Amino acid sequence: MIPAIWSNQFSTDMTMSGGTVVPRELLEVRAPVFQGLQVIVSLNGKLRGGVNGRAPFDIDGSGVYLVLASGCHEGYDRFEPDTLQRYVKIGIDPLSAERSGFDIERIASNRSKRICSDDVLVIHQPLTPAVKSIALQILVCPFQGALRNTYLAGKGLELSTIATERALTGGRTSAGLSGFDADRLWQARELAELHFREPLTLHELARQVGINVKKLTSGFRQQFGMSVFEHIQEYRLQESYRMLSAGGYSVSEVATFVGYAIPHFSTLFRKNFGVSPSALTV
Amino acid sequence: MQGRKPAAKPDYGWELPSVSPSVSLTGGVLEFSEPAQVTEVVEPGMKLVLVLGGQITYQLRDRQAIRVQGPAFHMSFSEDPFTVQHRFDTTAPLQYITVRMPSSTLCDEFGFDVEHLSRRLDRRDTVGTRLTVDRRANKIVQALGSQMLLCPLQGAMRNIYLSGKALELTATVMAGVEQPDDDRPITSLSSQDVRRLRQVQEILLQSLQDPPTLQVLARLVGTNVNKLTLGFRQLFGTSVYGFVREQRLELAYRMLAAGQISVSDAAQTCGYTNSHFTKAFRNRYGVAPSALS
Repeated sequence: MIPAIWSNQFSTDMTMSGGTVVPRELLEVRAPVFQGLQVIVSLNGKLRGGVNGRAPFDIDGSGVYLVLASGCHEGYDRFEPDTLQRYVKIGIDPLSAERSGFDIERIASNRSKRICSDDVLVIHQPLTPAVKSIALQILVCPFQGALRNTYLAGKGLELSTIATERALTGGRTSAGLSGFDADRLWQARELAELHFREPLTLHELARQVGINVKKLTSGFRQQFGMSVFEHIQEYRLQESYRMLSAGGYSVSEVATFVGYAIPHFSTLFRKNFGVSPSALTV
Repeated sequence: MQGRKPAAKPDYGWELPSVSPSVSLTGGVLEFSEPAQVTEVVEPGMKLVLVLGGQITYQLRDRQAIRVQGPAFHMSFSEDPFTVQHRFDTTAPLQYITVRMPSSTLCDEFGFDVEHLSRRLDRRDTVGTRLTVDRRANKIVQALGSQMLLCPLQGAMRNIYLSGKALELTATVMAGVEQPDDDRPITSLSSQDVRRLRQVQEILLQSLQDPPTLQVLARLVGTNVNKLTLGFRQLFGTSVYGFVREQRLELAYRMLAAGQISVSDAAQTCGYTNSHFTKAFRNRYGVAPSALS
């Protein structure tokens, strides 16, 4: 064997599906909810969903939906006629999740918006450019036959990590902060990330999550190990890395999207990742 | 949202059930203070070595030594184990990635056909089924390599991300080394083609237990097998066989859910063995068939 710096043996199982569908007539589907974790990336979609006959919820537009279910539950989906549904769906059963290291409990404990939290947990997160790009590559896969299977399996694995990354980093609480404050700080972090292109002022951020500025700044540092501003900077760079490696965007598009001038972006990127951004573009 | 597709019919949808790659991956940057030599017994299957920087020389027992100087890749495919010698020199740090995949994964999981593969690869080693290819790495292949070496994710997510990228790299490299005449361009379908393909779909739905062969199907609608298989995939996003399998499961699901049939009858109706049926069903719907009956 050749000596290696890092070396991994992989084995993971997942079920993947995707499509572009426009139902011609009203479509109602009742079926058991997949047991385990589903990562659903919706590029376009309009549907009403429900679980076990409880109050239905509406899903409209794009987003990343993480669906967690254990045990048998009856799911219900209703699609209005002539609505475009464009989606990629990945199912990871609990055994495979455990084997490959998907921390389902951590995803369940994260603090993103919940659309449904009865018997089945449905978490909604915004569609980021990186996730969108990977999903599009899956839907318009350039290959056929065995190459297609290989490529899609690869892209599916990539999508499952990039789409759950945010959810997996949420949820921890650090010592010394009350659960209430920790929750507020996570909310502040989510909000700051959501508005990373035109950052909110600290006052605005504090007001929106309902704590004072002093608590926000000191608590944020205590919980996340850096200031709000530093976190946004890091988030911008991480987001640009994800966009570049997901493919489909040029360096200047990425720089503009994350809000940097190109020369400044290239310098920062190189300093942070050790290569120029163009080395990653396909 | 549920464990099955929103459309009852897989109009433009597709499914890749049970993606279980067993890919092994090594990579990194190696520096040698003096020349080194390593002998490796390569297991049956595919081995892809991508050299982004630096160089490596390899030699098969009975062959001339070949130098792979980055950016370049070397790919081998063999059904038997074989021995290869690697020589590392001190000129520049070696930045590399190695992807290995056993034949079973290549053929059973992803559907590669060994014979087909050997026809497609442009440089053929004549010893048994062993093939080797050496090429310069283009910008796309280099970018994928850099993304892997730099991967910013941590922990378990890192492994999953890397295995995904390794598969993407494999597909991209394989697509690049195919013979040009094996390229299958996406052609636009005429309205007549579409009508014929819908007819094929109709015939398949009427004969799920015992579908006609591709030749017969093609003849029935007045086209040829090549046009039929390419067009079908293009229009419906799945192979003819994939469509049949999908519809069989759909039928089994409806029969089981309606309580009309036992699990073993459902399996038989669909043309599966019992255990295979249970596995396919669970992959598709996330529950065992017995949970419905």
